[in-house]
Amino acid sequence: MDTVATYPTTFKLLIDGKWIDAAGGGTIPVVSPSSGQPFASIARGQAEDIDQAVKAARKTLDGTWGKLTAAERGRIMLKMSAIILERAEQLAQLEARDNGKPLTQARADMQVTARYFEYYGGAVRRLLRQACAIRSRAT
Amino acid sequence: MPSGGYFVKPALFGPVPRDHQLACDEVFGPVLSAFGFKDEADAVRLANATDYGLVGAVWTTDGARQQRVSKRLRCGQVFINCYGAGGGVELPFGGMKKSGHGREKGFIALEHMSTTKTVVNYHG
Repeated sequence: MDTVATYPTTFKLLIDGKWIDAAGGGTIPVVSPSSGQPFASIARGQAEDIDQAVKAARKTLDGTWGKLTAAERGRIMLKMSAIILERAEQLAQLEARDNGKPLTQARADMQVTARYFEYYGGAVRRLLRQACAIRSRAT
Repeated sequence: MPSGGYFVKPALFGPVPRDHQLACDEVFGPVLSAFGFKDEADAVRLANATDYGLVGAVWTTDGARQQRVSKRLRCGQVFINCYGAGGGVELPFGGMKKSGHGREKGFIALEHMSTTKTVVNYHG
């Protein structure tokens, strides 16, 4: 048996690169389906938090993120994949506890999650436009 | 069955009537109904006789039969001599009939996040 991973017990909202409390400060307990016991809490996001998040996403799309080339964005996704793999065991234990699924399955999920970031991070450089020659003018 | 935790006993049914709910609907639990079939055409008919069509499989060493059955199964993925719903990240996944819209995974999934534009260029 691997070491039991440790986690923060309070999870906030990540908006505009900062971890913040929900507007109104509410939280939701996270209950492990296996034991019925709460083991953490997450922020209870409100409509105004969603507005903030959308605004921040729009701002970065029009700004830093949007200005990156596809290759650079892909590289960031590849880095995400590497970080997920580094923390795979910790993430798997959290997922199994949160979801109530077997640890073996959660471990496989983390490998697949890393694969998604890797696959689509690499895909950006392989997307091609399609051209087809047609006879004469398009009719 | 272990005494701790929450477990559901698996159940295997023999050939229930082919239009029975157990034959036509997916039970989201460890419940399976097994059927015999007369021949290839009967097996395909049986496999296609539901409102759903996510994943199917064909087990045979006959290569021509592998191709015929794969083509005739009305489902989004067909596995030949193996099974693993969903498959890898690279393989498009999604169903026919009432088993969902569109495809996730693979390059095809990027279509959901893009809009196709046709540009026609007359070369003279």
